[in-house]
Amino acid sequence: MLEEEKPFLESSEEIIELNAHDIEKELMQNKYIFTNDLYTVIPFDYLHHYSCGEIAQPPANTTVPPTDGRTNLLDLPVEILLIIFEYLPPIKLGISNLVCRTFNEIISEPELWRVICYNYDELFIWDKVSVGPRIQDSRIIIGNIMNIGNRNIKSARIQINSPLLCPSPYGGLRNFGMINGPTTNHTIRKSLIEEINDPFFEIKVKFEALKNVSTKKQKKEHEDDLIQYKTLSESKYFQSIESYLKPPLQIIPIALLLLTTSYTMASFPTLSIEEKNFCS
Amino acid sequence: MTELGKIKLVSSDSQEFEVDREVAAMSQTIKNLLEAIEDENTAIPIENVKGEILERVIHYCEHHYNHPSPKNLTENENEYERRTDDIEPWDQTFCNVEQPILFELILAANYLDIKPLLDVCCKTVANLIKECRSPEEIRKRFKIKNDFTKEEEEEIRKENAWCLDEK
Repeated sequence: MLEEEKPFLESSEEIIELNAHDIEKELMQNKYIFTNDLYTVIPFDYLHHYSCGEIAQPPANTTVPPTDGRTNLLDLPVEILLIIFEYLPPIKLGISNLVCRTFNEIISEPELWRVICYNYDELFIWDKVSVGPRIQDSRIIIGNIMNIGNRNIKSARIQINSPLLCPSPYGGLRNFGMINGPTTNHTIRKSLIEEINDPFFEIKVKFEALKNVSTKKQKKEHEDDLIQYKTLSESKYFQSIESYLKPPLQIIPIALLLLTTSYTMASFPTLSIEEKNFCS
Repeated sequence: MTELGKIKLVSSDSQEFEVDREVAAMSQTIKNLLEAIEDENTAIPIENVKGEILERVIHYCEHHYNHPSPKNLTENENEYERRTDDIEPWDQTFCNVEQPILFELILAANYLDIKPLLDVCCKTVANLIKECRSPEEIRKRFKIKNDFTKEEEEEIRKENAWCLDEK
């Protein structure tokens, strides 16, 4: 069965690139982009605009009263600043990162990203350069969204696999939790937050990655893991993992089905149920 | 002597406020104190909060005691969900104050453990940050000093190039 699975990502070489202007136009007309390409490259910052349903922001009020000895934002304890940052969209966190050391430190807090990723869970990243082994721990990926962006966001861009990008009940887009690791070519269908909370997530991802181990050198490197994999694959626990990790190609029929149907917000709940069934 | 069902709160600058016991008990901190104190007439010192702020906090509690919002009753449906567009109009007006006062309200809400007040103030601050489009704007708006060295700033700027305007 393992051999039958084809790497999901490699099957599609063609990458459709939309420039910022196109995306903005689309946004204005439809509020969201729905594409029948498996991969759509969307600049990260536009992704944010999708998710928030906002395209342009009003200029901030920049009148500054003279400094005095009164309570300042930085006088608030870290745990409160953390609460405040939890309300910010990723792009604003990126900006806040540059404000001062305190902000920078708080924003690297993984706990913060757990919340952010719940609210902006279309932020799934596929990055040729930097993800690599980090796919083993979604928490690290979340913590590194900015770092991933930093290297290539403008040049290489983040690729979001979009077969199931669709409107979220909160008015933005919601990707039904697919993570693609470039080095592992796997697709895991589950919402990210569940994965983060799933104590077995790491091991599940690892197993999925091990399926692609083929060369002798790789086998040697992962010897211990492979033994563990073999032992566990015969256990009952692993059966449940297998059902959890659906073969990626099964996604396509659903995606196409959805794409051919005229897509409305009303159909969203149905999809959600289908998705749940599909995952369970 | 305080009226029946009322308690006396004393701010850090010795201002006294008479408040309904039930209203004051919206603060978890005061509630706990009340349970520990036997004498009903004891004035409760709120050492970390100035009179000006305590007055506002009491105002908030009184309003919400008399106008309980249905949302607060069904809270915690999802511990991860965060939104800032659901501030009630009354709360919006309440939070529309100078920054120092807003921050002191946050500190007071935190100290007195009044979660809805803390939430609404934090949301307000988040909205203020959201309106800024650059680190400079945030610094300016909140009067924050840039304490990065030039090299550090350059480094972080590179890392965060994705969210900064290319100009």
